Amino acid sequence: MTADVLAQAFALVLDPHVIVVVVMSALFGLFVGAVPGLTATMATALLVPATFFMPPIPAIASMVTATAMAIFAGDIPSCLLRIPGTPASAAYTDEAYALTRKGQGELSLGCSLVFSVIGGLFGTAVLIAAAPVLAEFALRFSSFEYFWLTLVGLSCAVFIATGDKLKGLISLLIGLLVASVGLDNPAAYPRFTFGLTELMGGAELIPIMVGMFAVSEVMRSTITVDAPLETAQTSIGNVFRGMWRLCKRYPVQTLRGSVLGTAVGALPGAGADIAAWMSYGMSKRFSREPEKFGTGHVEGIVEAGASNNSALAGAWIPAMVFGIPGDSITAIVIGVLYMKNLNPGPTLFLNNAPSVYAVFLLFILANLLLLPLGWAAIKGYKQILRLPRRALLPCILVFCILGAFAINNSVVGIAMMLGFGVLAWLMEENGFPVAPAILGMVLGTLLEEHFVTSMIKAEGRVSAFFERPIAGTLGVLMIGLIVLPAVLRLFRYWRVRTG
Amino acid sequence: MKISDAILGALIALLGAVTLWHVRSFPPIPGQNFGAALFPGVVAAGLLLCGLLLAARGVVTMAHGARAVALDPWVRNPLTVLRFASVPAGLLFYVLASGVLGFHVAAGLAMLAWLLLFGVRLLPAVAMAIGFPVLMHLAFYKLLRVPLPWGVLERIVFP
Repeated sequence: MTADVLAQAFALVLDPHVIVVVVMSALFGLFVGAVPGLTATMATALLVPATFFMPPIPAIASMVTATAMAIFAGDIPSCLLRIPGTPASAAYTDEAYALTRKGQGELSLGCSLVFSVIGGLFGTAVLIAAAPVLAEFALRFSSFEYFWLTLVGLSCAVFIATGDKLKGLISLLIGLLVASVGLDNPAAYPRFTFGLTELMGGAELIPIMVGMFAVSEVMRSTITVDAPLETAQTSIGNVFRGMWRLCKRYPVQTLRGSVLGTAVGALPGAGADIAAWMSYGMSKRFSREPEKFGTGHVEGIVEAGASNNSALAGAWIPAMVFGIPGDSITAIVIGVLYMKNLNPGPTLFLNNAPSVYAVFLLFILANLLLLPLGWAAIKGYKQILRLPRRALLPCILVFCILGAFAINNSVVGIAMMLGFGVLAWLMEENGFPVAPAILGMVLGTLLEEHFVTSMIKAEGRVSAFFERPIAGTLGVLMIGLIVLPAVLRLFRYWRVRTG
Repeated sequence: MKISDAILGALIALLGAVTLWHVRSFPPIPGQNFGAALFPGVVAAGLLLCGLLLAARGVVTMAHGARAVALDPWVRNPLTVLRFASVPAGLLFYVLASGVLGFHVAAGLAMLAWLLLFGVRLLPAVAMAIGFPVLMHLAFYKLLRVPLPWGVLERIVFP
């Protein structure tokens, strides 16, 4: 990295337009995160229509900032209402609320805020260190390596990130099927278009994601729209008191949460919510006082709070380097990157280095801004609660309509949004995870393209997929990922049978 | 609403089978013995297989007394059901009617219905149903140049 590139990146980020966008999206993110039922992914999906009309850097800035803010803000209703503001807070909602009930709301909120910032900055540091190195490595990749890498990514989403693997796999297959709609395939044959010209270019991802993440969420929220929201603690004192002591007391927990969060974020399909669950579990497992967990103990909040924010930056590593989203937020971001001609991949680091470093700077900026703005959100939370959800939901729906319409100026987008919104609701009701479907939709076209290109290069020989060293390794890894659990299960079955 | 895995699995398997049958008509890439049908074909075969597995699993749980369709408690409250159904119904109304009525009228009507159903009082609801689409018009039509359909208002605005 030369000083010149860094200077250009600073110039891109410190543009007044970008700063205004950052502050506005920070407020938007805090609001969406703090309102129970509205998620960070929904914040990203709702931002998309606004980004159509922005230059690339402000567009990315808005998403980076809004998500960082929303993941933290989700902790506020966790602490005060026992309702997670976003799924990423769900892991430690009971713990945080129990702490508030003991009259330590300040500690609970302060801990969420401070360790969110620490986790976020850690994830950013890893992103800055790892992404360029990986990109240089990835320059040597051909279609064979990309095929395996995409397949490994998709398998991770199913086999690591979900509880019910069969339902996860079905979800992924549905996503892949949606990705094969349209002309964009190696044979350029219009598949599954039902005679609609709007589908020739493929199923447009943005309306689908707005449907799956916003419409389905609003449908769920209508059921609880009458539920009164009363906070467990009415006045909040100094949330920063005692934080330094916590940092000194739990350095290992902070580091472990941040490392695990970044790693889980970087794994395709698993995002901040799964990172928080895993970190909370790990914290309890390795704690010296596991009996205190669940009674309002701050240790788990430290570890899981750092974890979910670090996952956000972690998810950008595969997204920027390989174009493989690490979570559902980056799945949407990748769509926006393509729209802004910042096609993700290793060449992005060569051809557009200032933009890449601008993204890094934006992550640092967003995490630092989280301290003052997060503090303000905690202070103003009663005002946020006063905004009636019954009036908010219809506004969100109209905004969804506009977002789905504006991408192609066609009502087909809104119909797609509606269809996939209902589908996502049905899927989640019945235990089908939505993330693998999204990943399938984003990566399906690439997977097919790399596969067919490789097949043509190899003249139909399947063994060619294992001949190059990296491709071979990835291929074996992929097969191992599928075969190993089955073998282990058989082995266990055999041991039980033979006593 | 929890639908039994037996039913969902059967539906998914059916989707796989229909797709598998449909992709047979896709042409190959010239000079290769595979083409447009390969990828969706593999996916459809996967859906068929997974659907059958899920259905089999569902049949086993149903044999242990699981219901075919289990409804959540909120389904007993008609107002909640109405509120819930109003979301897809309102969006469907917009899809069908916005061409004729235009964005402002169609979105305003849908919004009014939602606001009243969710329990906002009449006057604020009417004010919001008029105000919010106008605000969105300013943001999307004026500022961002999205060609929102005028519909019935076209003759009034552009006489």
